Amino acid sequence: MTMGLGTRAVALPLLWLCLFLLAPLLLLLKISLAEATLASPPFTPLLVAEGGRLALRISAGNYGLLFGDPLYRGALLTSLRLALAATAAALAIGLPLAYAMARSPAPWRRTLLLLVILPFWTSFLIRVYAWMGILGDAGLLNALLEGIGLIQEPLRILGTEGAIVLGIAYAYLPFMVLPLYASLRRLAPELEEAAADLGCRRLATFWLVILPLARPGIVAGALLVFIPALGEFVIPDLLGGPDTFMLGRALWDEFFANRDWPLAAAIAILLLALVLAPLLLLQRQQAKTQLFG
Amino acid sequence: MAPPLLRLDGVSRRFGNTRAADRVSFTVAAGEMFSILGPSGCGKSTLLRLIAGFETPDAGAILLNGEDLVAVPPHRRPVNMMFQSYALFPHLSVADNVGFGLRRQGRPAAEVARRVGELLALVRLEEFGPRRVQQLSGGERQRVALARALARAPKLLLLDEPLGALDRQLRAATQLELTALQRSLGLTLLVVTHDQEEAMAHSARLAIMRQGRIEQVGTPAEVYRRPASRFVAEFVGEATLLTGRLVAAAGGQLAVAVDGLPRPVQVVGDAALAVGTAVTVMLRPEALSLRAASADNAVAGSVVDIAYTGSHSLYRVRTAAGLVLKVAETHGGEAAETPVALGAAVTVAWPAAAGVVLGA
Amino acid sequence: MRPGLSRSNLLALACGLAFLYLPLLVLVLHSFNAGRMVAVWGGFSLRWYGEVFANPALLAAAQVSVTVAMLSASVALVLGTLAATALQRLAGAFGRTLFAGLLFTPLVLPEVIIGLALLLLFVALGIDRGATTIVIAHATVTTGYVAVVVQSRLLALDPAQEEAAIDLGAPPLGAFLLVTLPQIAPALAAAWLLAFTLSLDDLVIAAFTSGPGATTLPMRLYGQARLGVTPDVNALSTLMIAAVVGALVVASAVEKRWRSRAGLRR
Repeated sequence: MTMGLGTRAVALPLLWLCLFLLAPLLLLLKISLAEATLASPPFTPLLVAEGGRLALRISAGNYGLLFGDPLYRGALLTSLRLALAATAAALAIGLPLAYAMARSPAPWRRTLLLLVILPFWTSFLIRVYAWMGILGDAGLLNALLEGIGLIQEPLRILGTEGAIVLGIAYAYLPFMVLPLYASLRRLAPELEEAAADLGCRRLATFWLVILPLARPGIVAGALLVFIPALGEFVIPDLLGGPDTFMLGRALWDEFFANRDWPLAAAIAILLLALVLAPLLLLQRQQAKTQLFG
Repeated sequence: MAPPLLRLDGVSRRFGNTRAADRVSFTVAAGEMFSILGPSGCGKSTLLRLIAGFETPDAGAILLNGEDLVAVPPHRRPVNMMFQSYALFPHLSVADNVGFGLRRQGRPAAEVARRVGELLALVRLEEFGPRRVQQLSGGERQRVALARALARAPKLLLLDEPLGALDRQLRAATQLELTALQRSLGLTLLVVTHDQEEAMAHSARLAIMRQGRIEQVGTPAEVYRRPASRFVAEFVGEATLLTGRLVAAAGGQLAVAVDGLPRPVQVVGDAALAVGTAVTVMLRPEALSLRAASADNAVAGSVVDIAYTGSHSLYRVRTAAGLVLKVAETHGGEAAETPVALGAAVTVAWPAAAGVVLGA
Repeated sequence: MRPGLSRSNLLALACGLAFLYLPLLVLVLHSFNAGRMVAVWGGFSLRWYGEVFANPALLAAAQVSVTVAMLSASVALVLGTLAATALQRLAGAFGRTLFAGLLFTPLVLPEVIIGLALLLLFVALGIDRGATTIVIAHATVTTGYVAVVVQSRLLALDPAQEEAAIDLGAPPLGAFLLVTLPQIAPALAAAWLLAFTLSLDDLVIAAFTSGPGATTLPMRLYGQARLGVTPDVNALSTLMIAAVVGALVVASAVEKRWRSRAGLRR
């Protein structure tokens, strides 16, 4: 009887998701296999009528270009490199924070969680924009460094890859902290005491006990930062320089500037594949965690 | 007595307004099994954590072989602890858990493997080395935790409710194993527990703790027969406590007037007590009888409850004035022939020597 | 029993929170700066706020954004609640996994992919792009978020409650409406607020799926931010931060009152 209700409830969202999520993604795949033309819509059809017969016209040219052209290959590598660096930075900032939160007295913990989540509720664009005022040539950081006499000339920070990494790590930090916090909360403080009791200094306890046991949280947090970072467009555009070419920017440019929709679609499919791989990894990890939880 | 292995001297630790340890002093001799017994929240676990080094005392000294441990960080203390939750590392195998402390000492791998094998054999888990901790039963985990704590051959082994997480049947067997191990290896054990039977049955000596303070230290028999306070009397074993006023004292023979009893209770006690002092007389149930023909004390009442425990029965007898006396009767002999029924009118009798006078 | 935090933990908390909040603090302070230079304090002034309210394009964009966010959040609330209910009740493991996969995909997919895919769909179907298409796109993406929030509340409920209602004569739908729905009401409010905020915040998907005449506030803001840091953008940002914080304060107060009225504990 309750199953009937479930089946009826699923109908509407399922229909919606098939129409506005599944269909578009399939369309994306289809168009990525077409070629760009100057027509409207600006791509060739996959099925063409040739002498009364339907013929399939599939072109792998876009993918060939993506992996063959140094520009796009570079975009792929830059995206991977910066996403990795940003993930590492977020982990380096997030781990001590999450650990301290998990070990805070109970009445603090709710407030601390709220404080970490709160920035997520404020506009993403604003959070990125805020760094422009800090990192710019005439920004606060340079003024500060000049003020204490550490530098004479303004340091070029805005427009570098470092600024992109910092921006991504900053924007996605809550995604890193929350799963870390969850897995560190599950780690009983007695385990650390047991390690100390058996001769571990604090650093050894960290390496031998805390880090291995926080791994599910680290993996989940890393993926939650890495995946959006890979396709990030806004942060590289606002904080990076014109010479940093990443996949998100490539897609955006091909679509809006060059009107090469099939190539943009191919970039999207490539991104999708890059994202899917670690996600499947996460699922396996979660299944394993449940097994041993 | 040999010089003590462990000496606590006026150790105090407070958390906010609660005194978890309040001027605690006692000693533990080498090779002894010493228990700290108390209700939950009395501070006994804090005491263990102070000795292990996870807490720092606000005052006092913790001496091991005469050397103060207070300034020594936990990872350098020659004591090891078995945690109440066992705190086994879930990401390591059984063998890696047991070998954890040895590896920290930088022992060569071969030696670690050999020692781990010996320890697993000691706790009869030879086959379990490669297993994951999650795959073990409660009793097996307890033994892994014990083996892990023993690995570094600690001068003193601290056990926090070592049997608390086990079910009843497993407890007795595990307790016997622990005692046997302690004797054969000559271990010094400091056990924290809230289970008085466990503490009484197997400790050489025990300390009764209440609200951060040690109420009494002694052998199980001393604590049972001569409790230092009402609290100890009630916490350790069954007892009837009669409060009253001393009305006569002559040659160690005291008479205590108790509200609700027609005649003063005759009891052997301290002759130095002044007449008029408020005192409590403690009676252990096995010292009282439902069938004695004549005795120094006799009180009439009716049986309101019978708790059958196999070897004996515990009767609750209420007097006309509402006082309840607990009487234990061993089965067999007279009791088997003429059992006392619920509601029966009986006379509870006991000799003067059975009573113990407690201060207030 | 355990005492407070160690010094290193306090330091980690202080540094982490400073990292999260200092940039926003700088931005807010700068919005009150009379001068244009970020690093030079030119005195306190509200002139940039005046400029924001004197800018008709910004106000129009804000109106579009709020309308789109309210509509898309409402659609997502219905879809997401249905989806969460279905997830809890669907028996077949395979179909359930597929449905969940579809539902939660937008939570992890980079926005550019969804934006481009939806745009291609709208073009293929010949739908004119504008506010409507943004609403559809945002509703699609935020349905999964709504489902997560609602599902977590549903999981906390005792399934025997609905069975008790059915046992007492309520039809299944009636049991859901009378017993379950009132109990998940705060989660529904939170989910709507989350969907609303996500829509209000989105730039990338809106940029792909909008058409002429439908410029959202993030699109306008982005256009200005690309040109550099200007105090009027800071003023606008500060207003948006204040709106979000205000909404969250109201939401938590409402939730607290609801909880105490219902006599529920967390």
